[in-house]
Amino acid sequence: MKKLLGITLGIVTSIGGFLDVGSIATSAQAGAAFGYSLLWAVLLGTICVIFLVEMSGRFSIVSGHTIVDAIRKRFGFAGFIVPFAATLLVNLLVLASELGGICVALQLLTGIRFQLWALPVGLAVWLLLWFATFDVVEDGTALLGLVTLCFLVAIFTLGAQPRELAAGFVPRLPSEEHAHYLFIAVSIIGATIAPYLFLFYSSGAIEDKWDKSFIAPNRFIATFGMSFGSIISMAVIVVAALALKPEGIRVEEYEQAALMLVPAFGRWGFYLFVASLAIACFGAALELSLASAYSVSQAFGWNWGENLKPRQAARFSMAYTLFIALAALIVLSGLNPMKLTLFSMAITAVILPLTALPFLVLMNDARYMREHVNSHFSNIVVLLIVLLSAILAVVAIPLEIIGSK
Amino acid sequence: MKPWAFALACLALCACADQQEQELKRAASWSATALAVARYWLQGDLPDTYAKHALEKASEELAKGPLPDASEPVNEMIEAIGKRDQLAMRRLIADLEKR
Repeated sequence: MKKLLGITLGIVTSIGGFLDVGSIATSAQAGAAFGYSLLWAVLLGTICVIFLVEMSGRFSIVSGHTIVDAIRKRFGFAGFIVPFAATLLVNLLVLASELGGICVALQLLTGIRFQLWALPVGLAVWLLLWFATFDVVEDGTALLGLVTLCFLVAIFTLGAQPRELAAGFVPRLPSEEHAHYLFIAVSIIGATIAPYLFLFYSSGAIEDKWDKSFIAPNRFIATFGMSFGSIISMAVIVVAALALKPEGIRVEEYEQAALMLVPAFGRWGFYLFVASLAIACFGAALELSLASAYSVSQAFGWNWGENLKPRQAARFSMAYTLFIALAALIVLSGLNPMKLTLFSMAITAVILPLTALPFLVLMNDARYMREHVNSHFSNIVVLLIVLLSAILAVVAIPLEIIGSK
Repeated sequence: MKPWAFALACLALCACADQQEQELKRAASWSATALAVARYWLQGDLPDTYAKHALEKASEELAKGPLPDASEPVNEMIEAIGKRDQLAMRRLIADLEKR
């Protein structure tokens, strides 16, 4: 019974915690500019993330190691430092985007410029990490994140056509704006397969002391949690396509995205969008800060754990403190939060092979995984999607930069 | 020239050619945003603070785009919100829709 409750909570928190600033920004842009035609990108990213999250949970359960810790041991410091540095840099950019998302939500609500919220928001994230336990951080914010289900409800209120929706799952180049279409597609994939997600999940499995009896529940949580979660991400595309595209509104700033729920819910739609943006970003900011501090601590062999008091894991606490401070400074500098988000997501897709490929090697190493090594099918699916996304990103990013100048 | 480099150069050229069209689309999108914000505000579906902020953003974006004159009616909309003048807002919406 306790395990069943755990699985249910795991699935519910995966749904509530799925949406973050990247998913909201990329999906809103996609729907407003290209209608349903980028739904396939969310599907592709979701298939890959289900495999990666399941693998990261299974890896920690069977080997007793976290991914970062094992990559360092298996490949040595020289082989580890490049993916480690790249992941930390991208985590920092994404964390700045998440904090920026919360600040923009507060700006939409109060009219006070988003930069002025950077320090109070950074402080709020830090205080919660300093005083709360892992369960509060993981479950609390994700349960609040269920407010994002409003996007799903909006689809029924606005009335989407099932046949047109189904066509969106077949990749097809639009008649114009090929470069922008490609850029949004890789940004969506980057937002869906964020490396911090499976690094966090792997450390979480150790924090929660998962043993071998969790192998099946882990598979269940990864599959259903991520699948249902991605439906919300798809719902953002559909709602933007239904509410913004017919009006001729393209999402270049959050001020435009904030209109997407108004046709469905009236004045409440505006407040629901602001709440969804703020809560989704707040939850993701907590996870990102922790994932980055986990990575640094595991890389250097420091004491780590959100369930430990800060004085028991001082360097771990210092790591997330530093990360939050740096990210808050980036927001304070006034960089456009929407542009920062889109580029962070596209860069995420570029660096994916750096973390995913060494991880795949570990998943096939019987010294770590014993009889639980990966199947060929899992290897091929992850390998194909990760390499395809990285190649698309390398092509799309320069084209987007040239096109937007 | 290698085929992949040629393909990349062609794509880059297309991206540059799209640039002017993109700017016009951007201006049209901000005009549409201003119109939607004004309409929703009139229906009571948006709080004043957000409506004013969104219109200020639209005006700023339109002023630096290819059709800077398009920001003038948006500035008048901001004034109408400040005075809570629904009649003036109705007139401005009608004007903007005609364009």
